[in-house]
Amino acid sequence: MNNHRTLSLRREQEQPAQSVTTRPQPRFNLNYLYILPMLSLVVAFIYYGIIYTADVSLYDWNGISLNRKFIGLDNYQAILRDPVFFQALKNTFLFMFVTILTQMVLGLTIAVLLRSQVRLKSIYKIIFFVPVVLASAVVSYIFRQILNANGGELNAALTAMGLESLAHPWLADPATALLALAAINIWQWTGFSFMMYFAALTVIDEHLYEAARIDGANFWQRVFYVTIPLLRPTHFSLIILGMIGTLKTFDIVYLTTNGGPGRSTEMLSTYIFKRGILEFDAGYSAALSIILLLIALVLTVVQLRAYSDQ
Amino acid sequence: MFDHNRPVVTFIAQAILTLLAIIFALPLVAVIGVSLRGEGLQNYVTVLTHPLFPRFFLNSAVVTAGTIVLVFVVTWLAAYAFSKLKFRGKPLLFNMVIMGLLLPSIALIVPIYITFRQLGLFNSYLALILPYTAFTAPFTLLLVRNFLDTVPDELLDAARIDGCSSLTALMWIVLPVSKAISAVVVVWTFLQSWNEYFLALVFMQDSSMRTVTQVPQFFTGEFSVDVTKVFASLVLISLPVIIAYLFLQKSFEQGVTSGAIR
Repeated sequence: MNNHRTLSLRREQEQPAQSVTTRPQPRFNLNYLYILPMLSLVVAFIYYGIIYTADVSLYDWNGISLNRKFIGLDNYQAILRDPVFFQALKNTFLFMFVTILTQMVLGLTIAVLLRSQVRLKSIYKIIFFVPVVLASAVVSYIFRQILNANGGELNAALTAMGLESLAHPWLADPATALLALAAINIWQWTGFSFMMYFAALTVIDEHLYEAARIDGANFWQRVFYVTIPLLRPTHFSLIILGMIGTLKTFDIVYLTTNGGPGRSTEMLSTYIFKRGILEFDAGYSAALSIILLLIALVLTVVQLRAYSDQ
Repeated sequence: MFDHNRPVVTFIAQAILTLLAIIFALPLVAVIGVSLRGEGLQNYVTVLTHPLFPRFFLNSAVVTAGTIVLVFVVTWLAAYAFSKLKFRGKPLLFNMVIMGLLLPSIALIVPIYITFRQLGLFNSYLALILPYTAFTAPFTLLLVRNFLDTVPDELLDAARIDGCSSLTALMWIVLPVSKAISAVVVVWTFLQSWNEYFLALVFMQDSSMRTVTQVPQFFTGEFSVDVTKVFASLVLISLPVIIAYLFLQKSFEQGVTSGAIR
């Protein structure tokens, strides 16, 4: 690669320099070689993957046998009649709404409070952020134990405080299982929202608050009319990342409730896994995957449009 | 935004933060507590001396190291080209790669599963290293490209006049001034691969090829009702990320927050 022809730094055209222009231009721009590894991986895993998945979704196929039957859009039609799909869709969106909103409110609250003159700031930061670096498989096991109906730490603590009437089989009751999973997610990811807000707050000019103060704005007015509007890019980032994150959520569901009891915590991700990998229904699973990809795409485009319109 | 001359405000903030911190810390305290119940530290010894435990750790270390090297090389080459070199179709190709960020990897499991089975890649390190790289590199590319856009082109002009090839310039001029962002790439990739569960679950079915995130499940089968040893294993497999976090807090925070869309 130690070849002058590979050199085409940006300024080349503005100030044609000695060594470069004396040689004939190669027919193939060797700069493409730099992006080749990245492009190959992305094309192989993501783009080939999408096309392959779209293709498989048109077949009745177990993913193994040599015979597969072309059935057109039958898998998609079957999905539209599948109550489990709609349950999973509902669960996914409910989980998305509850976790994103709570994580944003909590994260912002913590970030704002840490901008005051409190002591022990670095200790708080560590406590709120450690859950973010833990594997969600680890987090799942922690909460499986804590929320366990018999011998779980939460119920034990409630009983010890004389509140045994509140003790509850949190993950085993269809009425609370999804919210319990949301709580686990909130515990793990609030530190992320907090850190995003904290980083954004440090670059807000203190003079803006000073000006608002001179105009007679109290603390709450400064928060609601100065801070929160200025954090708009962070709100949007957290909403997009939260939505994509929810669509990816698998570990904590699979390892705590596995979609149950019944289908009360089934997510699109766990349903794709069960149909495709456990039940060898590759065609159906692929069709579900395409729907999941479309949802991700629509959510992102709508968000980006809303963001750039404002 | 606070009125700093009012101690009562600081007191209230301190009280709320302490309450929240206690709530957030309780599960962490519980893990340590449960892991020390019964036989105490002996739980840790039992886990550490289990014949397969070092193997799980080694598997994760190999996969993580392999992914870090691959992500690092692939990211730097591409980010450098996207930021500093000229070629046609740059914006299109860049957006093509970045789109990869938005797609939930779980939706692409069917083709990867089928292809890897045909290629006989199950229970091999590559079965994890390759997809981890493909799903991590679009993000690190965005990170490094954004950073390189802030590096002045003049730095490279000097190298060009000296007759450096563009690859030489990347290695000897750009990389040495990019240590901080390189650390973010390494730390971020480490976190992603060490903690990954889903693909490891699907592809590493042989018990000698499992990674650390499969450990709790494995030990639940092994020790059944003895949850204390499972919890000792949870602490042990989390130690590398927690130690790395405490030592490299800045890189972690930068890595996590730079996912923001600007």
